[in-house]
Amino acid sequence: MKALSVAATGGSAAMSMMLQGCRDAQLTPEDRERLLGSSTATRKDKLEKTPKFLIVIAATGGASIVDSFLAKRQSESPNGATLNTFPDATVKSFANSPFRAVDFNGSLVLGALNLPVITSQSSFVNKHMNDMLVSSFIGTSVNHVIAQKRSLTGNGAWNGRTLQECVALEYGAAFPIPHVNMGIGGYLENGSDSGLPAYCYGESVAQPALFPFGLDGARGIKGAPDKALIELARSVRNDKLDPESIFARTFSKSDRLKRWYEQRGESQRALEARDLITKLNILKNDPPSVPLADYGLAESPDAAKVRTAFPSFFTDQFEGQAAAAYLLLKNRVSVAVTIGPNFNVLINGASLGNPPLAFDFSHNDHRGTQAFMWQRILSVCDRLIGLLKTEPFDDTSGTSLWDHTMIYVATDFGRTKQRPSGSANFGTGHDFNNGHLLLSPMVKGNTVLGNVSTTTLESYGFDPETGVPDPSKTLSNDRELFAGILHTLSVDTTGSGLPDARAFRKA
Amino acid sequence: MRPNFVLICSFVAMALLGCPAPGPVDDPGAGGGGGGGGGTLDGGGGGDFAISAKGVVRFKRNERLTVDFANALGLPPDGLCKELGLYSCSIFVHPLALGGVDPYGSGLYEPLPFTGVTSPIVVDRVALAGCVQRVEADLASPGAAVIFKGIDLVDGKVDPTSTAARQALDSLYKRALQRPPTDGELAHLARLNADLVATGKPQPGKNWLTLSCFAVLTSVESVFY
Repeated sequence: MKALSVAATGGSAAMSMMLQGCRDAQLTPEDRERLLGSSTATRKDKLEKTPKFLIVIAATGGASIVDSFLAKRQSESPNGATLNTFPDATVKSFANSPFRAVDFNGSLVLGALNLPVITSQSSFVNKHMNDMLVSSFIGTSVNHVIAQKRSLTGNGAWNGRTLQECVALEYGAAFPIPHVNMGIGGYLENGSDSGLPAYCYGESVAQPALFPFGLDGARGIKGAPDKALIELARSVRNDKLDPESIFARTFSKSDRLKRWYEQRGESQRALEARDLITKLNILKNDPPSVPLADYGLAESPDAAKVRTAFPSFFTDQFEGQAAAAYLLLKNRVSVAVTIGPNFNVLINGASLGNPPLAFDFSHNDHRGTQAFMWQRILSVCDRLIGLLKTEPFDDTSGTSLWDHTMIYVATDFGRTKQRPSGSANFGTGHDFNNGHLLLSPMVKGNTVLGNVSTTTLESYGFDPETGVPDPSKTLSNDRELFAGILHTLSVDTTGSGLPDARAFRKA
Repeated sequence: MRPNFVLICSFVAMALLGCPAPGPVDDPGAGGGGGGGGGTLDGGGGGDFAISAKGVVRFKRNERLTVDFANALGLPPDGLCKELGLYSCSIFVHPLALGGVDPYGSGLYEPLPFTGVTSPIVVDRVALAGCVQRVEADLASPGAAVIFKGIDLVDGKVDPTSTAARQALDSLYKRALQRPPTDGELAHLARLNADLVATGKPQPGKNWLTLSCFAVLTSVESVFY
């Protein structure tokens, strides 16, 4: 009797929760989406919000913050000879700024590739310091794919959803492809919160320069019937053939088919009606290699400007992705876009475009790789910011698209700090300790949150609310960076349990 | 005390047994006809077939789709669809939109779990490119025609009830879906022909052949399995 009474009182609550868990486990993502979307007011709020945009630049392979904005001079560290510090003259400081920069004018070569490395981080800092925030970071994985994903989910800080998915959920409801993902590996994966509306998950793109062709089902196909006629055929298919087919009726309960019917219906027509096959097309008509006109296509009105900024857009996918990111934001196609170099070697004309393994070539030669790759990342950032600054956000606010955008330079992890005594040529492994760069007029600019110990070169944390550095905080702070990015972008995190990270935001 | 403990265990066990396991998400072996784990007979007057209780189907994805479309149309897979006549639609340009993997480029070793916003558009694109080629080739060389054999275009029009047109549709369905068309499907496609003629646009016959091919190849029966 006692047992039954327990089950009937306190136990009933536990049993109820358990059974609720059972019911939740039965829900498909589509079911959850319907439940989430059932609040018309919430959806309306999201549609009416002034959007903010997030561009994730995935610094693939492990971009080390002590090789850029938190670099240390050898004389500053008691262990400078055996830690990854630099000759004093190599590290630049800036008046009234906490940032550092490491410049090389050709005195450094890229490992066994024996190519001179020329970098100017200082010019980037001089130009953008008021839109720069560097947050110290202590991660939780040194496995590339896992760490990449955790850099976007804050190690599962909010039900496993990614930053891009959060931004798409907050601002993307009215956008045709709210979240476009051109990253690789863990940066390309969906988050693990399967309960979000379908539009939050990333649309993956393999070839950024050719991707616009996939935004129209018929244009650019030689000999294709007139678009109006194709619509007639689609109507027969959608309204007659499929609904009456035994296959479709047999599997009428399939969530995949339901999703397909939604995707090929109104959303397909809406996408095609926006003429994105033209507006996002950077290619220039140049037969026979690019016979656009032969196929009834034309370039974007912005193509010339974008090609000037990213002249290697076709051969260097990272440049192509950055060009696409600008056009996706400008044309209000997306609110979250992920780009980044991949692990493949790229020879661009007579020069090296991307070393094998990107930042991870640091295993072979740390200093040259970090210098080369940071230059590559910052160069794309600079050009992308330049384009966004020239683009008015709207006709009335007097603000630019850049004023509403954040670039998060995510990376896998840091690199080990040790080197053979005094050596400038050494390899490094993976390390939890690092820092991340945020770029935006919305962040508290010219700011370093936390810092790096001069004794060990290891990062330490900070108070996410006040920004006060705390050398005793040496454990993982994924959640704070995750929260800081979302708070800066004014994403509603109610119920997430995330810390108040107002230290990231411009007051 | 002991009986009480047994009672509790029994109660919890009954509750757990009453909670069915979630359905398979992507079981390659599932999704066959007959409803898999059981089903109900169609009550809509559509004949005797079972409605799958779980409705597990899979998107064919880029490589299977390419091969199936190419086989259906009698075209080489690498010539099925090329953007600007240069770049393979399904293997090079849009592999991810078509659910493919890209281990050496994007580091994507497993396909994404869902079709994307652009997936149906790209499927339309690939199918249309292939159908245009097949119709043009069959009309240009009737002796070597693969699907659209013996089609007579009178003033640019086709009689959809003619023997040749019926045989062409029968061949199309068998090559694409491994079954003949139903009378209902033939009637819908004949109606499409009438609609195309009514628009007054040129070449209604050729367009009808192309768009019939397009409608069949992009039907869910062709794109999922």
